[in-house]
Amino acid sequence: MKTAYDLLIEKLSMQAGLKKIPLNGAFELTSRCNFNCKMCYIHNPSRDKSVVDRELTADQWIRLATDARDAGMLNLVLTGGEIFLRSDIEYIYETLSRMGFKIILYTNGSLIDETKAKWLGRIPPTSMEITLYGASAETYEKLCGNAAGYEGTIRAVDMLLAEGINLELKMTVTYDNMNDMEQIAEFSYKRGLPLTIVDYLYPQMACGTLENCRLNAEDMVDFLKRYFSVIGKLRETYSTGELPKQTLERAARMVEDMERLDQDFDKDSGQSAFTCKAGSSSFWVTWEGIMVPCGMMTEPTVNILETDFRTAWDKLTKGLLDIPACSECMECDSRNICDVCPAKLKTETGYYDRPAPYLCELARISREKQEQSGDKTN
Amino acid sequence: MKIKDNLILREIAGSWIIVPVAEMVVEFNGLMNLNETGAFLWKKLAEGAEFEDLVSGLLSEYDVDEETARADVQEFISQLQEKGLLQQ
Repeated sequence: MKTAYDLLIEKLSMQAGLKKIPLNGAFELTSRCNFNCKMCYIHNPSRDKSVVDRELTADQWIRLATDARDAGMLNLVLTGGEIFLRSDIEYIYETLSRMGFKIILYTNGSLIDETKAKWLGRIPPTSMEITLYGASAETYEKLCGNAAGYEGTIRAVDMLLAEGINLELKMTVTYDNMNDMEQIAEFSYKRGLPLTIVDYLYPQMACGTLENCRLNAEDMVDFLKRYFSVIGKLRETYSTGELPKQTLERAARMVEDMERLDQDFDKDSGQSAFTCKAGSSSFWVTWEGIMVPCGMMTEPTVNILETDFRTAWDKLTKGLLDIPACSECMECDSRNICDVCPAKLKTETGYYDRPAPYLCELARISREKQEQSGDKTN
Repeated sequence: MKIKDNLILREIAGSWIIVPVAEMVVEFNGLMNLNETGAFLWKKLAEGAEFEDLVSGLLSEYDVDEETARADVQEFISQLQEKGLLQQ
């Protein structure tokens, strides 16, 4: 059940999509990371000065945020690389935290010590999303080249919880960590934290050779089935109970508003290639200052150092109109269970309008397994 | 009657939203959606208006009788108090 807050965010998001307002921004503050994860596409060395020199400065990020706020940005993700590697992260975050945004921090958590946790507890973000790469130092070493990262991250989660910070956990599934899932899920549920499984790796995130890292379609479908079974059991064990009546009533009112917006949205979206908010109400700015629709798209691009924010956003939204939809995907019987998007098609096939065999295989096997389990229950 | 610090009224995508920032997120980590009248009252409160100022503000700005205006202001203030957005 969604809360009134979730629904208000969704309502704003739909209104923003209709009016092409850049409600959601992601600032990739750095490409440097203290981990060297096999599947990560952005992990330059921590102390590489030549990389530091190319990063936007703190004041450039703050100026960008000011312009984005004036254009309507509410939700701001700060991501990397690892954001806590920036020596000026406190200045950047403290300034942004007073500007009127809902801020979400993406981090691997390992650099958060007690001082940082207390600092964040004083001026908390809306939430922090911490990725757990495994459930042991061995898995962290194998996948991220940083055995100590495991203990550091676990400690950080508990310190941040002690400061009352909203946390969400993520797990990116690879062959190296897939067997740690049960322990990660239990860790999350014991602490009452939501866990998101990142179950799709873009080809550029796939460890050099796809087969060594990204689960093949059959293994992924089996993994997800196992995951759903695990969280089903954990939910029963660690249930947090029902939401208050007042929350449910507010949510119901919001649903009515959204149904009205939905009708407008359907009329507006037509045959767009995009089912997400990229380029209609969301944008991403890379560590070097390039605005793109999302972190996985390489076009259209606008250099925000060469123009003002509104012009950049305008160019981005117009540029997306040139991206063709995959008509074969749109007519596919499995569309409702296929998480296809232009970014995935482009990186999988080199084209926006050609089906990607990996996604087709995922959808086909998911459907088959669903039908098999349906047959068994009938 | 004073609004707490670190609450920002923003108009986003046609909606009026109260966004808590910095230290205020400790107390209120959400958003509050105001209608047009709520935003009007919020701005008046931020300027230092008291209950009677809010009522007279509504009467001069909107086509409404005094009884309704008083009830609307009372409800608005109660909602802010319920959410802990007013200083004691």
